[in-house]
Amino acid sequence: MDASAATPAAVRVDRDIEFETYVVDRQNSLLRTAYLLTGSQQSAEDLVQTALAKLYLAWHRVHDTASLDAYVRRIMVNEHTSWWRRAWRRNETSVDVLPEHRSQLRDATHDIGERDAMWTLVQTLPPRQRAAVVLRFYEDLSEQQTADTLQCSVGTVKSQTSRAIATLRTRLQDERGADR
Amino acid sequence: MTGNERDLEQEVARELHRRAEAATSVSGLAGAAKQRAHTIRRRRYLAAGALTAVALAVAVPTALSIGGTPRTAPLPATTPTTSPTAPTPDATTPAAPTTPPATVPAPPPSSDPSVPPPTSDEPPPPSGVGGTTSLSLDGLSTGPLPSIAYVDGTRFRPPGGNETDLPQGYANPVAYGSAVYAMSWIDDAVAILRPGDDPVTIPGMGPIVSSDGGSIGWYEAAGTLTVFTSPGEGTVPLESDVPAGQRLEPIGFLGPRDVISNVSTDEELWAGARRDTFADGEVQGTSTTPPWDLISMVAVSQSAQLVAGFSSITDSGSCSAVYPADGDTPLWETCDYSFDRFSPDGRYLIGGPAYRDGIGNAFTVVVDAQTGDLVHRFDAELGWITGAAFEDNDHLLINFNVPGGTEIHSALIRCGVDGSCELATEVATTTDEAETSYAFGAQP
Repeated sequence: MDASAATPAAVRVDRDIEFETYVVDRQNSLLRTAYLLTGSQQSAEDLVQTALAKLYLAWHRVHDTASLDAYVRRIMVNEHTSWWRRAWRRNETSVDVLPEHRSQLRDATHDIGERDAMWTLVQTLPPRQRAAVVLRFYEDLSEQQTADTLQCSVGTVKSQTSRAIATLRTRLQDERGADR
Repeated sequence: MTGNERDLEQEVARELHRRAEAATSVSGLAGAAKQRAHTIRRRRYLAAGALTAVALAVAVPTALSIGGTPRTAPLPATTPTTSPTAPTPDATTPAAPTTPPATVPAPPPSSDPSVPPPTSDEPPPPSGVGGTTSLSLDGLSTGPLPSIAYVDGTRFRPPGGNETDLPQGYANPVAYGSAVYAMSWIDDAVAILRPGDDPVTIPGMGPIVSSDGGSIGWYEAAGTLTVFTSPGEGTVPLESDVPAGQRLEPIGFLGPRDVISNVSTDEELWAGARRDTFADGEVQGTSTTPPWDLISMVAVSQSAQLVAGFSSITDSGSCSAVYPADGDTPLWETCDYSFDRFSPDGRYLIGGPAYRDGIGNAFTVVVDAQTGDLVHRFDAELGWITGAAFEDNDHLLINFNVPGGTEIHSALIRCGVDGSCELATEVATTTDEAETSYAFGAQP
């Protein structure tokens, strides 16, 4: 990523090789995170593609390989949670009320049905709470790392996460109570 | 943390890991990303050759008089509009012209073999007269601080003094009476900050403020649109009911007791507009559906009685239109730009690209609000613009950011609608691209 190569063309070739190597190494991981953020394969691919495009444009600014993931993660979260981005996606499903037809997702097996309920409820969390949950419990980021990605304080990460968990707990209890 | 909470967190983690496996890998992602990067870059560095405007030759002024004619030294037509010391070009992106002649040059052809040739997906160039200024932080003189409310880091600076430190995640602050009102995006609530007290948060969205600053309003998730027409103690709020299942995004005041809002529902993100009016002496409002064929409102002008909004939004762009407040026929429509706000007298509209990528705009435009004609365009060149607001009828403040190595340099730049510019704040430096050193307060 050293932009001091002899010619602009050589710099571009180096950048492309480095970028493509990074994408091959990390695309599956990025797609999984994007899938958890968006809930659909198509949206996840779109989100990752946009984030990688912006990484490509900013390649000269990202000097530290270790920070590439953090940079892309931040772009993905920003893209997903920004009001503008959400305006392009007319199929926004993250609302603060339970979806009406969640029972369609349930399998006959009680355990699988419970997991479906959990996933369905995660998808109903507001975007930033959902992002906090994905970053903390799937990406296993620390509270500080999560705060850096969400551009907020550690205290806010704690409150966003605890509110999300509390919401999930309440709704799961409602679900399980309704099953009886 | 209780054992039950820990168990639930572990259950969530297990389910997320299980669900993540459903994501399938794709091939060609790097190439597709570079294609999209090219499109984004083209939108950010819109080809100078696509412009029909002629660059105005305006000197870097020694001072601008706010509210009056900018005091700029007249120059011959060949004087460049960029700063005398151009920023060092980025070796990995196409070089922008540093000393453009009076006519705008054609863009340099791309010689990057990995980048496909430009497609014809860009909107046609706008017609009408107008000029272009290339923004830069270098070589600008420094003028007075902004005379409208703005945020410097976390410090809210309203024009009358009484600065306040804002908590994290607060945006669009406005001073009203003895309190500061703002939107807390973290809490999805309107926040009220009074000296010495903890913030009070009301789930909902807002605030909006009238052009004279006399009225303030917001939507409360409990089901009301609330308006205060006076900050005095004991003032009874005006309220208009919002049905269950609807949510409002207040946009602005068409009058001290006349509010325009966007409506959304669980089924429909854009469910139209709503107008709430409060008759004199009445505290209960009446809501009506305005006649405009707009899917989402963006701005209203109380002085000119105009409204602006999106007539269509697609995955690749948008179209916008301006209507008279009481009419159902648009004054004009465009798919070249999208818009943000009117000037105080309603004569101009500030706008940017028709597709906004969430990081920043490659340019800001000022158009005639009655005709849509381009008045002036401000290009970010190697930087990006994170907002713009009118300071008065003839001047706007542009939130401009430029990368410098691992740092980002930002400032509010004051520009006249004729293109002359100066710094209105110090140049602040951050190492975090997502941080915004400066922001604007809520604007009427």
